[in-house]
Amino acid sequence: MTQEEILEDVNPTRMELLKLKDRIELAKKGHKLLKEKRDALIMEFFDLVKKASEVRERAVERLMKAYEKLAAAKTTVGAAGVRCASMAAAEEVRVDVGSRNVMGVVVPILERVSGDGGVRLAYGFADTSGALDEAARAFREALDAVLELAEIEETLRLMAEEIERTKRRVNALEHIVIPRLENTEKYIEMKLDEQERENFVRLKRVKSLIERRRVEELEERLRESGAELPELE
Amino acid sequence: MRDPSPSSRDALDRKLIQEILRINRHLPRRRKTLDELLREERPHVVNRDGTRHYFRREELELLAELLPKYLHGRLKLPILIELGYSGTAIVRGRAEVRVVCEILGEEWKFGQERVELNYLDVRKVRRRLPTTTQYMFSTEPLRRADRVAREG
Repeated sequence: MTQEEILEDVNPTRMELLKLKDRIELAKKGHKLLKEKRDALIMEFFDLVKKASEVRERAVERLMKAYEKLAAAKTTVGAAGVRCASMAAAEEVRVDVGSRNVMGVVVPILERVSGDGGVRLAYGFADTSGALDEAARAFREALDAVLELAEIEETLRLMAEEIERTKRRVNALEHIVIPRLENTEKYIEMKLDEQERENFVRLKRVKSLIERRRVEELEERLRESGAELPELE
Repeated sequence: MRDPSPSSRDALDRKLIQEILRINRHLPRRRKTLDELLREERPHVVNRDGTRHYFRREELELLAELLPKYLHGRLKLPILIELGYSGTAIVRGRAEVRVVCEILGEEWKFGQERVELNYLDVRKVRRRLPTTTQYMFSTEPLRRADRVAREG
């Protein structure tokens, strides 16, 4: 264990050790929660990917149909006729933009608002044909699919970003924060053990010094009283 | 990758711990009942982080069909799917449990207050109810450690 792998400015005290233990517990539980969040985000993401491909196919199919119908309308009323009819269309597409929150990711909800249910046509009956009506209806249907696709694709982009961010956090906890906290805990424990051993040795030393002094004092007293002491090697 | 300085390492620790403590900020400040939401023009709730969570009307109508009328005032939305139990998720509340069981085609007992789901079930529920359900992370064990984190 090197100094690099532990927290800086840590006092090796019991109080600090208790605090650190709580921090480790918090970091570990947080790591578990963030992992759950990452897994749930990935699960949602893959569901959306599947849905996106379905919606994309539907949008393409509807647009293709709409363009086919537009081509048919051009053959009946002519390109100029179609252009004239399109200029008459005063209808604006109103989109209701909301949002929903998926684990902290604010994703959009797009819904087309249609006052008349999408049945009113803006141009007159003269100089137009049924084929043009059908083309207009087909484009309106395609618009719904395009809006749905836009919503899903934006959601996918935002969720991919959040997955990346959560992954980085999980990795940082797993490979940097938790190991560093655990190393610091070991360092403090080691220091405390060392202090305890030092204290133990110091106490033994003090005890033996006191003992020796006591013996010396006793010898002194006996010598003063005139007693003959045996020579001790 | 090694961090450039000790202070930035400590900042990383603090940031990550804050991140953990903020994990449920996307939940609503107050959940609304199905009755309340059906009456609103643009049904939504306000989250703790200040963002708005809108519900799709079709989903609310589906829920209204699934549940008997007397439970419309008891179903609180969004339904919270609790994660954090290693592979299982929990949904609590009588009306909420009934909705989930109906969606999954499972039997429910009268008065059942909670149901445990595996991830496949969670996916099914989320696919049917993307705006009327939300994930929640069980932070019970974190709350105890919260004080310590604040003290540093």
